[in-house]
Amino acid sequence: MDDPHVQLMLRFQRGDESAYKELYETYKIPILNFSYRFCQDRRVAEELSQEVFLRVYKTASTYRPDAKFSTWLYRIATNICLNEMRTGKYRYELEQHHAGGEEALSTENKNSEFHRNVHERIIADEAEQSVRKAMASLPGKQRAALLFSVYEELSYREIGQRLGCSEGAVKSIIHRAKIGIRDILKRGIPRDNE
Amino acid sequence: MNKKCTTIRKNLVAYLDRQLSERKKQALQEHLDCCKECRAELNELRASQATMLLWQDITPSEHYDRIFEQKLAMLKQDLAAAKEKSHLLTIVRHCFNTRFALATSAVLAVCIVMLSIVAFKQYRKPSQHELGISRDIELYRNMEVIQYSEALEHFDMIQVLDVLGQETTG
Repeated sequence: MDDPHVQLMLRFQRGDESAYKELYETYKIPILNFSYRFCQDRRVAEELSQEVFLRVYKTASTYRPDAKFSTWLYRIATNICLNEMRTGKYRYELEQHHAGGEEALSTENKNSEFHRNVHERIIADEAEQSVRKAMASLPGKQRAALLFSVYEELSYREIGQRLGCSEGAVKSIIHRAKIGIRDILKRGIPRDNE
Repeated sequence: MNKKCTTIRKNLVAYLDRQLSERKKQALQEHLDCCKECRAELNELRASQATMLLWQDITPSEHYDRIFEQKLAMLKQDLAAAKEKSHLLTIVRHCFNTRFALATSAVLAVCIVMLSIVAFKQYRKPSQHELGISRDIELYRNMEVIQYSEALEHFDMIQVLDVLGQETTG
Protein backbone atom coordinates (compact mmCIF):
# COMPACT_ATOMS: atom_id res chain seq x y z
CA MET A 1 0.00 0.00 0.00
CA ASP A 2 1.57 3.31 -1.19
CA ASP A 3 -0.59 5.54 1.01
CA PRO A 4 1.89 7.34 3.33
CA HIS A 5 -0.77 7.52 6.02
CA VAL A 6 -1.07 3.74 6.01
CA GLN A 7 2.67 3.61 6.66
CA LEU A 8 2.23 6.06 9.54
CA MET A 9 -0.54 3.94 10.99
CA LEU A 10 1.61 0.81 10.71
CA ARG A 11 4.43 2.66 12.47
CA PHE A 12 2.03 3.61 15.23
CA GLN A 13 0.87 0.02 15.43
CA ARG A 14 4.50 -0.91 16.14
CA GLY A 15 4.53 1.59 19.02
CA ASP A 16 5.70 4.83 17.40
CA GLU A 17 3.57 7.48 19.12
CA SER A 18 4.95 10.27 16.92
CA ALA A 19 3.27 8.62 13.91
CA TYR A 20 -0.07 8.81 15.73
CA LYS A 21 0.55 12.49 16.49
CA GLU A 22 1.25 13.14 12.80
CA LEU A 23 -1.97 11.42 11.75
CA TYR A 24 -3.89 13.41 14.36
CA GLU A 25 -2.47 16.70 13.08
CA THR A 26 -3.20 15.77 9.46
CA TYR A 27 -6.81 14.68 9.92
CA LYS A 28 -7.88 16.79 12.91
CA ILE A 29 -9.52 19.57 10.86
CA PRO A 30 -11.08 17.41 8.10
CA ILE A 31 -12.63 15.08 10.67
CA LEU A 32 -13.83 18.01 12.78
CA ASN A 33 -15.51 19.55 9.73
CA PHE A 34 -17.08 16.28 8.69
CA SER A 35 -18.51 15.87 12.21
CA TYR A 36 -19.59 19.51 12.28
CA ARG A 37 -21.46 19.31 9.00
CA PHE A 38 -23.00 16.05 10.08
CA CYS A 39 -24.25 17.10 13.53
CA GLN A 40 -24.27 20.88 13.06
CA ASP A 41 -23.14 21.68 16.57
CA ARG A 42 -19.60 22.89 17.08
CA ARG A 43 -19.18 21.57 20.62
CA VAL A 44 -20.65 18.17 19.78
CA ALA A 45 -18.50 18.04 16.63
CA GLU A 46 -15.37 18.63 18.70
CA GLU A 47 -16.33 15.81 21.06
CA LEU A 48 -17.12 13.49 18.15
CA SER A 49 -13.90 14.20 16.28
CA GLN A 50 -11.87 13.62 19.44
CA GLU A 51 -13.75 10.37 19.95
CA VAL A 52 -12.68 9.34 16.44
CA PHE A 53 -8.98 9.77 17.28
CA LEU A 54 -9.37 8.03 20.63
CA ARG A 55 -11.03 5.12 18.80
CA VAL A 56 -8.07 5.02 16.40
CA TYR A 57 -5.71 4.81 19.38
CA LYS A 58 -7.77 2.12 21.06
CA THR A 59 -8.27 -0.08 18.00
CA ALA A 60 -4.83 0.39 16.44
CA SER A 61 -3.95 -3.25 17.09
CA THR A 62 -6.86 -4.42 14.90
CA TYR A 63 -5.99 -2.13 11.97
CA ARG A 64 -5.35 -3.93 8.67
CA PRO A 65 -3.94 -1.98 5.71
CA ASP A 66 -6.62 -3.22 3.27
CA ALA A 67 -7.54 0.22 1.93
CA LYS A 68 -6.50 3.85 2.19
CA PHE A 69 -6.05 5.06 5.76
CA SER A 70 -8.63 7.80 5.22
CA THR A 71 -11.21 5.15 4.25
CA TRP A 72 -10.75 3.41 7.59
CA LEU A 73 -10.69 6.70 9.51
CA TYR A 74 -13.84 8.09 7.89
CA ARG A 75 -15.64 4.81 8.41
CA ILE A 76 -14.97 5.21 12.13
CA ALA A 77 -16.07 8.85 11.94
CA THR A 78 -19.28 7.95 10.10
CA ASN A 79 -20.15 5.24 12.61
CA ILE A 80 -19.55 7.62 15.52
CA CYS A 81 -21.67 10.35 13.89
CA LEU A 82 -24.49 7.93 13.03
CA ASN A 83 -24.39 6.65 16.60
CA GLU A 84 -24.59 10.19 17.96
CA MET A 85 -27.51 10.83 15.63
CA ARG A 86 -29.30 7.83 17.14
CA THR A 87 -28.44 8.34 20.81
CA GLY A 88 -27.65 12.08 21.12
CA LYS A 89 -25.22 11.15 23.92
CA TYR A 90 -22.79 14.06 23.55
CA ARG A 91 -25.51 16.60 22.81
CA TYR A 92 -27.30 15.55 26.00
CA GLU A 93 -24.10 15.57 28.09
CA LEU A 94 -23.09 19.01 26.85
CA GLU A 95 -26.57 20.39 27.48
CA GLN A 96 -26.46 19.03 31.03
CA HIS A 97 -22.96 20.38 31.55
CA HIS A 98 -23.86 23.85 30.34
CA ALA A 99 -27.15 23.95 32.22
CA GLY A 100 -25.34 23.22 35.50
CA GLY A 101 -22.11 25.05 34.97
CA GLU A 102 -23.01 28.18 33.05
CA GLU A 103 -22.18 30.42 36.01
CA ALA A 104 -18.87 28.73 36.64
CA LEU A 105 -17.44 29.32 33.20
CA SER A 106 -13.85 30.48 33.44
CA THR A 107 -12.58 33.55 31.59
CA GLU A 108 -11.03 31.24 29.03
CA ASN A 109 -14.31 29.50 28.41
CA LYS A 110 -16.15 32.78 28.23
CA ASN A 111 -13.71 33.84 25.52
CA SER A 112 -14.32 30.65 23.60
CA GLU A 113 -18.07 31.18 24.03
CA PHE A 114 -17.58 34.65 22.59
CA HIS A 115 -15.70 33.24 19.61
CA ARG A 116 -18.42 30.67 19.15
CA ASN A 117 -21.04 33.39 19.10
CA VAL A 118 -19.02 35.29 16.51
CA HIS A 119 -18.92 32.12 14.51
CA GLU A 120 -22.68 31.69 14.95
CA ARG A 121 -23.15 35.19 13.56
CA ILE A 122 -20.96 34.40 10.59
CA ILE A 123 -22.86 31.25 9.79
CA ALA A 124 -26.11 33.11 10.08
CA ASP A 125 -25.70 33.78 6.41
CA GLU A 126 -28.95 32.88 4.73
CA ALA A 127 -27.62 30.45 2.15
CA GLU A 128 -25.57 28.58 4.71
CA GLN A 129 -28.50 28.36 7.09
CA SER A 130 -30.62 26.89 4.31
CA VAL A 131 -27.96 24.30 3.52
CA ARG A 132 -27.75 23.38 7.19
CA LYS A 133 -31.50 22.94 7.43
CA ALA A 134 -31.58 20.92 4.24
CA MET A 135 -28.72 18.74 5.42
CA ALA A 136 -30.39 18.19 8.80
CA SER A 137 -33.49 16.85 7.07
CA LEU A 138 -31.55 14.01 5.41
CA PRO A 139 -31.24 10.51 6.90
CA GLY A 140 -27.80 9.70 8.35
CA LYS A 141 -26.37 7.64 5.51
CA GLN A 142 -27.51 10.09 2.84
CA ARG A 143 -25.98 12.92 4.86
CA ALA A 144 -22.62 11.17 5.16
CA ALA A 145 -22.59 10.23 1.47
CA LEU A 146 -23.42 13.79 0.47
CA LEU A 147 -20.66 15.23 2.65
CA PHE A 148 -18.12 12.88 1.09
CA SER A 149 -19.35 13.72 -2.40
CA VAL A 150 -19.68 17.51 -2.13
CA TYR A 151 -16.93 18.51 0.30
CA GLU A 152 -14.34 15.88 -0.50
CA GLU A 153 -15.27 15.15 -4.11
CA LEU A 154 -14.77 11.43 -3.67
CA SER A 155 -15.72 8.86 -6.29
CA TYR A 156 -18.74 6.65 -5.66
CA ARG A 157 -16.41 3.70 -5.24
CA GLU A 158 -14.47 5.45 -2.46
CA ILE A 159 -17.68 6.58 -0.77
CA GLY A 160 -18.92 3.00 -0.95
CA GLN A 161 -15.75 1.82 0.78
CA ARG A 162 -16.21 4.37 3.54
CA LEU A 163 -19.87 3.55 4.06
CA GLY A 164 -19.51 -0.16 3.51
CA CYS A 165 -21.90 -0.40 0.56
CA SER A 166 -21.76 -0.96 -3.20
CA GLU A 167 -21.08 1.66 -5.86
CA GLY A 168 -24.61 1.24 -7.20
CA ALA A 169 -26.09 1.80 -3.76
CA VAL A 170 -23.99 4.96 -3.35
CA LYS A 171 -25.19 6.28 -6.70
CA SER A 172 -28.77 5.81 -5.58
CA ILE A 173 -28.16 7.32 -2.09
CA ILE A 174 -26.42 10.40 -3.50
CA HIS A 175 -29.03 10.87 -6.21
CA ARG A 176 -31.81 10.91 -3.61
CA ALA A 177 -29.82 13.18 -1.29
CA LYS A 178 -28.96 15.75 -3.95
CA ILE A 179 -32.48 15.85 -5.36
CA GLY A 180 -33.78 16.27 -1.80
CA ILE A 181 -31.34 19.09 -1.05
CA ARG A 182 -32.14 20.74 -4.37
CA ASP A 183 -35.86 20.70 -3.58
CA ILE A 184 -35.39 22.13 -0.08
CA LEU A 185 -33.02 24.84 -1.25
CA LYS A 186 -35.36 25.71 -4.13
CA ARG A 187 -38.16 26.28 -1.63
CA GLY A 188 -36.03 28.02 1.03
CA ILE A 189 -33.61 30.30 -0.79
CA PRO A 190 -34.67 33.50 -2.56
CA ARG A 191 -34.12 33.71 -6.29
CA ASP A 192 -31.09 36.04 -5.85
CA ASN A 193 -29.10 33.31 -4.13
CA GLU A 194 -29.75 30.69 -6.76
CA MET B 1 -41.51 14.64 -19.64
CA ASN B 2 -40.88 11.72 -21.96
CA LYS B 3 -39.28 8.38 -21.15
CA LYS B 4 -35.89 9.52 -22.41
CA CYS B 5 -35.95 12.53 -20.05
CA THR B 6 -36.78 10.27 -17.07
CA THR B 7 -33.76 8.09 -17.81
CA ILE B 8 -31.50 11.09 -18.37
CA ARG B 9 -32.55 12.76 -15.11
CA LYS B 10 -31.65 9.66 -13.15
CA ASN B 11 -28.09 10.17 -14.33
CA LEU B 12 -27.80 13.93 -13.89
CA VAL B 13 -26.33 13.77 -10.39
CA ALA B 14 -23.78 11.15 -11.43
CA TYR B 15 -22.96 13.33 -14.47
CA LEU B 16 -22.31 16.33 -12.20
CA ASP B 17 -20.15 14.14 -9.97
CA ARG B 18 -18.21 12.92 -13.04
CA GLN B 19 -19.15 9.34 -12.29
CA LEU B 20 -20.66 8.35 -15.62
CA SER B 21 -18.98 6.15 -18.20
CA GLU B 22 -17.88 7.86 -21.44
CA ARG B 23 -20.71 6.26 -23.41
CA LYS B 24 -23.44 7.39 -20.98
CA LYS B 25 -21.89 10.82 -20.66
CA GLN B 26 -21.94 11.34 -24.41
CA ALA B 27 -25.57 10.21 -24.68
CA LEU B 28 -26.53 12.57 -21.85
CA GLN B 29 -24.74 15.54 -23.41
CA GLU B 30 -26.46 14.91 -26.73
CA HIS B 31 -29.83 14.89 -24.98
CA LEU B 32 -29.04 18.08 -23.03
CA ASP B 33 -28.23 19.89 -26.27
CA CYS B 34 -31.75 19.39 -27.48
CA CYS B 35 -33.80 19.31 -24.20
CA LYS B 36 -34.36 22.63 -22.46
CA GLU B 37 -36.14 21.10 -19.44
CA CYS B 38 -33.35 18.66 -18.62
CA ARG B 39 -30.80 21.49 -19.00
CA ALA B 40 -32.79 23.54 -16.48
CA GLU B 41 -32.85 20.56 -14.11
CA LEU B 42 -29.09 20.21 -14.43
CA ASN B 43 -28.58 23.91 -13.73
CA GLU B 44 -30.72 23.68 -10.59
CA LEU B 45 -28.67 20.76 -9.32
CA ARG B 46 -25.47 22.63 -10.12
CA ALA B 47 -26.75 25.72 -8.27
CA SER B 48 -27.73 23.74 -5.17
CA GLN B 49 -24.29 22.10 -5.14
CA ALA B 50 -22.67 25.54 -5.39
CA THR B 51 -24.84 26.75 -2.50
CA MET B 52 -23.72 23.80 -0.41
CA LEU B 53 -20.11 24.79 -0.97
CA LEU B 54 -20.84 28.14 0.72
CA TRP B 55 -20.87 26.29 4.04
CA GLN B 56 -17.54 27.34 5.44
CA ASP B 57 -15.04 25.13 7.24
CA ILE B 58 -14.48 25.64 10.95
CA THR B 59 -11.22 25.46 12.89
CA PRO B 60 -10.79 23.73 16.26
CA SER B 61 -11.34 25.87 19.36
CA GLU B 62 -8.28 27.00 21.31
CA HIS B 63 -8.73 24.26 23.95
CA TYR B 64 -9.28 21.47 21.47
CA ASP B 65 -5.75 20.03 21.61
CA ARG B 66 -5.43 20.40 25.40
CA ILE B 67 -8.73 18.60 26.01
CA PHE B 68 -7.76 15.89 23.56
CA GLU B 69 -4.41 15.40 25.31
CA GLN B 70 -6.26 14.97 28.63
CA LYS B 71 -8.65 12.44 27.12
CA LEU B 72 -5.77 10.56 25.52
CA ALA B 73 -3.86 10.44 28.81
CA MET B 74 -6.94 8.99 30.53
CA LEU B 75 -7.37 6.44 27.78
CA LYS B 76 -3.73 5.38 28.10
CA GLN B 77 -4.21 4.89 31.87
CA ASP B 78 -7.35 2.83 31.27
CA LEU B 79 -5.61 0.70 28.67
CA ALA B 80 -2.63 0.10 30.99
CA ALA B 81 -4.97 -0.89 33.84
CA ALA B 82 -6.95 -3.17 31.55
CA LYS B 83 -3.73 -4.79 30.32
CA GLU B 84 -2.57 -5.45 33.88
CA LYS B 85 -5.97 -6.86 34.81
CA SER B 86 -6.02 -9.14 31.80
CA HIS B 87 -2.49 -10.34 32.67
CA LEU B 88 -3.62 -11.25 36.19
CA LEU B 89 -6.72 -12.92 34.82
CA THR B 90 -4.56 -14.99 32.49
CA ILE B 91 -2.48 -16.22 35.42
CA VAL B 92 -5.60 -17.02 37.47
CA ARG B 93 -7.17 -18.82 34.51
CA HIS B 94 -3.96 -20.75 33.97
CA CYS B 95 -3.95 -21.80 37.63
CA PHE B 96 -7.58 -22.79 37.65
CA ASN B 97 -7.87 -24.54 34.37
CA THR B 98 -9.36 -28.04 34.30
CA ARG B 99 -6.08 -29.94 34.13
CA PHE B 100 -4.62 -28.05 37.07
CA ALA B 101 -7.77 -28.62 39.15
CA LEU B 102 -7.72 -32.38 38.37
CA ALA B 103 -4.03 -32.71 39.26
CA THR B 104 -4.50 -30.85 42.56
CA SER B 105 -7.48 -33.03 43.51
CA ALA B 106 -5.52 -36.21 42.74
CA VAL B 107 -2.53 -35.12 44.86
CA LEU B 108 -4.81 -34.24 47.79
CA ALA B 109 -6.61 -37.58 47.56
CA VAL B 110 -3.30 -39.50 47.59
CA CYS B 111 -2.11 -37.53 50.66
CA ILE B 112 -5.32 -38.27 52.59
CA VAL B 113 -5.09 -42.00 51.80
CA MET B 114 -1.43 -42.19 52.90
CA LEU B 115 -2.10 -40.35 56.19
CA SER B 116 -5.00 -42.71 56.90
CA ILE B 117 -2.78 -45.77 56.33
CA VAL B 118 -0.08 -44.40 58.66
CA ALA B 119 -2.63 -43.63 61.38
CA PHE B 120 -4.21 -47.11 61.06
CA LYS B 121 -0.83 -48.85 61.30
CA GLN B 122 0.09 -46.96 64.47
CA TYR B 123 -3.09 -48.10 66.29
CA ARG B 124 -3.08 -51.59 68.05
CA LYS B 125 -5.10 -53.20 70.87
CA PRO B 126 -3.54 -53.00 74.43
CA SER B 127 -2.42 -56.37 75.92
CA GLN B 128 -3.94 -57.93 79.11
CA HIS B 129 -0.81 -57.05 81.02
CA GLU B 130 -1.09 -53.40 80.01
CA LEU B 131 -4.77 -53.35 80.92
CA GLY B 132 -3.89 -54.81 84.39
CA ILE B 133 -1.29 -52.08 84.95
CA SER B 134 -3.83 -49.46 83.94
CA ARG B 135 -6.34 -50.82 86.48
CA ASP B 136 -3.66 -50.83 89.24
CA ILE B 137 -2.79 -47.24 88.51
CA GLU B 138 -6.46 -46.30 88.82
CA LEU B 139 -6.75 -48.09 92.17
CA TYR B 140 -3.58 -46.48 93.39
CA ARG B 141 -4.89 -43.06 92.47
CA ASN B 142 -8.13 -43.75 94.40
CA MET B 143 -6.13 -44.82 97.45
CA GLU B 144 -4.05 -41.68 97.23
CA VAL B 145 -7.19 -39.58 97.23
CA ILE B 146 -8.51 -41.39 100.33
CA GLN B 147 -5.22 -40.97 102.16
CA TYR B 148 -5.13 -37.34 101.24
CA SER B 149 -8.65 -36.80 102.63
CA GLU B 150 -7.73 -38.54 105.85
CA ALA B 151 -4.64 -36.37 106.15
CA LEU B 152 -6.80 -33.26 105.74
CA GLU B 153 -9.10 -34.48 108.50
CA HIS B 154 -6.10 -34.95 110.79
CA PHE B 155 -4.91 -31.52 109.88
CA ASP B 156 -8.26 -30.01 110.92
CA MET B 157 -8.07 -31.86 114.24
CA ILE B 158 -4.57 -30.51 114.94
CA GLN B 159 -5.73 -27.00 114.17
CA VAL B 160 -8.67 -27.32 116.59
CA LEU B 161 -6.36 -28.64 119.33
CA ASP B 162 -3.97 -25.78 118.74
CA VAL B 163 -6.75 -23.24 119.13
CA LEU B 164 -7.93 -24.93 122.33
CA GLY B 165 -4.39 -25.07 123.66
CA GLN B 166 -3.89 -21.35 123.00
CA GLU B 167 -7.14 -20.52 124.77
CA THR B 168 -6.22 -22.58 127.90
CA THR B 169 -2.74 -21.06 128.16
CA GLY B 170 -4.22 -17.59 127.62
